[in-house]
Amino acid sequence: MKIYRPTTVIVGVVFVLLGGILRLADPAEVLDDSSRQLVRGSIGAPLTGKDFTLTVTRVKFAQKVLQSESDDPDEVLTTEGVFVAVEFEVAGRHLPETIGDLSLETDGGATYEPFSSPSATSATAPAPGFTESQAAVFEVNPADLAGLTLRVTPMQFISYFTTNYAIDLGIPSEDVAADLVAKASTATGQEYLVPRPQLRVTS
Amino acid sequence: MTRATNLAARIAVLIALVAAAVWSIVQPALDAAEKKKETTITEVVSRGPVEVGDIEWKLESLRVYTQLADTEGKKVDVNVPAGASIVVAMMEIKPLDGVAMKNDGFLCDTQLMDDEDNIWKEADSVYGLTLPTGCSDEDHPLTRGKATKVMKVFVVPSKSVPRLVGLITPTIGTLNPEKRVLISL
Repeated sequence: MKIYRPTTVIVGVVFVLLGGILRLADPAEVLDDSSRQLVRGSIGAPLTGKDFTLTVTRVKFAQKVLQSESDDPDEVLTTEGVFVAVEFEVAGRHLPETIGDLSLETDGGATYEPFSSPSATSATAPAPGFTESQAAVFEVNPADLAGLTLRVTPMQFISYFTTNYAIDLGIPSEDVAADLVAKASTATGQEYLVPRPQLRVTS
Repeated sequence: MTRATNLAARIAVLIALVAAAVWSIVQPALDAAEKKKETTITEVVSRGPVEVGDIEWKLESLRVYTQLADTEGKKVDVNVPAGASIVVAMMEIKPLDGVAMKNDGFLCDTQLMDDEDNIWKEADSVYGLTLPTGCSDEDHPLTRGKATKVMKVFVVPSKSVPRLVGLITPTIGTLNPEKRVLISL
């Protein structure tokens, strides 16, 4: 009544271990899900996907974040670190859907999630022929800003071959970042007013 | 006897493994086919009437407006960015036997399409018009077997207006539709 002899089981286990070791030999293979495609872009350059064009238009560092011009001083967001506001535009085509969730990544390896209010947490394409501008606000460690990259990660729901986007925000080194952080602490550059999402016809 | 069950068990395991392997290879293709069915237009009719999902549809007109008025003649709030227009599709919708009417209402969503494969959803939150915009409006209940005029409101970039071809139903993304019809003018 023996279906599996001990040798069969051992051979099976060896194969599984071999597979694991082969995968570990290539660390990139382990960290990056190979069923996902990664498209890279940079600030200011339009990134074209299937049903949309995404452009990061502006990155601003600030120490205070206001939701509206008439904001109650008590409700102004403040930080010990630094706020990074990423403004972007999405143009829609065909029948657009949600592109993905937003996050920030640095060369230091940290990943930051955006504030859910007042900023956008995901990139969504508007109806065809329209362009929507939005902003996402992140609270970031000021000592870890080199290689700041905006990541757009679609939800994977029993579907294959999804595309991820990584948009370089143009901060090559900590020196450049330090300048921007210093500017964010001056009186004039301190505050960031979160713009309302705006819809316009794609020109 | 034991040898027979042994063999049967081995074969069963083998079949299960082969099935799992085949499924994992074919699954993406099946997925793609399913996706295609969610977006394919199977039939094109001019104006109608045409029967889709136990509803009879007829497109009477497709007109462009800059603003809409309610029953009292006041301006209706529609979010129209500069360079965009309001497109109103006047339809006659007749629920036939077999359509599920909960509280005298049912779903009759459509989408507007142009010749460049752009698809617009109906503008939501448009209230106070003289005619209903949907088929589950308490103020304008529909009766089975009787055609009712319904206004479908869309907001479209003005430059796309000359390229519009018609309305599609059921909407793209509807799971397993028996057919999808493009009602053109």
